[in-house]
Amino acid sequence: MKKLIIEARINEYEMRDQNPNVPWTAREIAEDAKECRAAGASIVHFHARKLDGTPELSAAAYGEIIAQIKDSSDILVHPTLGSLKKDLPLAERLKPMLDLGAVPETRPDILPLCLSSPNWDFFDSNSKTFVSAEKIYMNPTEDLIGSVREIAKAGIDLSCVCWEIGATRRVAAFLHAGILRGPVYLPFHLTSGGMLAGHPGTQDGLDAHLAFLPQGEPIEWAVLNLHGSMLPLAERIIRDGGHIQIGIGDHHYAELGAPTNADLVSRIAEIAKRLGRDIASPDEAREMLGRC
Amino acid sequence: MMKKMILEARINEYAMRDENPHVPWTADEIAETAARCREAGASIVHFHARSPDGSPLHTVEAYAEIIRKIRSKCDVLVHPTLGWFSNDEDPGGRTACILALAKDPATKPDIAPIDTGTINLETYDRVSRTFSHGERVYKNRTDTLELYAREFGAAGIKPVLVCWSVGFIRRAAALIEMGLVAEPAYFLLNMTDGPYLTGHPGTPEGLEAHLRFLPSGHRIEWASNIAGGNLLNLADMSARRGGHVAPGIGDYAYRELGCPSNADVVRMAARTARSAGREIASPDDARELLGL
Repeated sequence: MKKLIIEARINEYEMRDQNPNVPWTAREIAEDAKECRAAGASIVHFHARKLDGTPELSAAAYGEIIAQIKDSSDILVHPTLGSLKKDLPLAERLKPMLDLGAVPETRPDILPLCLSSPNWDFFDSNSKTFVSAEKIYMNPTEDLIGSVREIAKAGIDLSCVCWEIGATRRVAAFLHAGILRGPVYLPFHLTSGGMLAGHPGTQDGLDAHLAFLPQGEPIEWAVLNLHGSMLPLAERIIRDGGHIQIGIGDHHYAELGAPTNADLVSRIAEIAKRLGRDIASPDEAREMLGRC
Repeated sequence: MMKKMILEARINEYAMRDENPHVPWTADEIAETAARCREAGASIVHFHARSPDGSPLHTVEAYAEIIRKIRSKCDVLVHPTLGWFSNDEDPGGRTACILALAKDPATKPDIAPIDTGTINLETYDRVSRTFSHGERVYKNRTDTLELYAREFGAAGIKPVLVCWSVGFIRRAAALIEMGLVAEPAYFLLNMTDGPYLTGHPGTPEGLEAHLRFLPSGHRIEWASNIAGGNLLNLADMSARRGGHVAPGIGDYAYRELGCPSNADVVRMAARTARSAGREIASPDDARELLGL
């Protein structure tokens, strides 16, 4: 079976109250990335943070983090497009990353696009109220098409994030139209813990995505579970030929005693070893994911 | 004995007449179509007001005229639109027309839709491999869904929770949890085919991927629907699984059946329902099933 890509999703916008190991500074992020690489991760996904953990949105901060990661490791670098700036048009979210891509030292290896426009709400089942109920994560299809072309032109790989079945159908249409060329890196974005926009982080939630994976298309699928544990799904994904995205940015894993990102990557690597699936190095991951 | 089956006729949406000339536009045409659909077995009629040239029309007067004319001809339950993507720029204003109609019992809608999330609503032509309407995002912020549910509840209008993805179903379930939508809740599981990529495909698998996530622990009724596809193919499955169906030439021209009228399509769905052991619900039966 093909090798397993493990992507470490190390911080998102998580604070440290439930897991103190969330990296915030450039040095912490680069150190975390290096440890994740040693544990078996071939890709690191991160968000820039200020010293107090609040979102850092400047391109310079991203450039510094990318340079520090690349200094200490060969892990593939996958920054966010700045998901807190969801009210900005996609092209404006993308541009700073493309600018960083023009310089080898700060060049992202992979950039993410979400192939739909989900409501970005959280449901608190205790108080029975919605939080951030006014937010829509706007990704109009024409902006997606333009961004795919820009990212391809920059020679950067693409992650086509699918929250819903329609997003997977959109990827298939992009392939059909020649807008995307395979292989396509396609994470299924499951959502748990009050985030309702995706499929739930359960076997059923994953099955309902996999049933619509286009057959015969050059797609490398992966799974993440925002605000829920990946561990109940890991064995199934590894057996079925998918890839795994895991980290304390998505879920605190307090039920495991608040591990580090590298601890989680090690756990996945152990499961893969037990199931006889080898782990991809960054070079091998690059080859598998190709260019968009 | 299985419960009776509701047939909802979706008679015009914003379909033009190039593919199927039977699409009703004027108030008289809509009322006549509603009466014919009622005879064929429909207990609910869903319609959009249209200008004489077929373009979207969104005035209280137009809807009032249509509803009066429908009710002068038959007892079918009346389910107007909020205006779909043609009326989503002012979220607070989307329900103004429905609420104005509700002030007079003669024009009060029986049912009104709440689409429980946001979607990209482009079209893709597989022959020319081109996208159209790539800029179109049908926006339904979660805070406005709460507002609509409250407004409809206060006005005594039954909401139908229109679901285009699994996340929509989860959000609809949260609205029930919050007590904003009364049980039995009415779900419309809206699949897409043909030029529409947005929803689940209109196949048994696409429907199954909705059904698996319907909330347990709540009393619900669901109907299937396909924008851009032949819903008659799912009528038997919907009947056997205890659901209802919402066919009509507003969603699909049924060219392979010789471009039938709405009443023809309803009649075919009724035949399938009966052969699956389901009696057809009258408007009074539908009122009881849906708790109107």
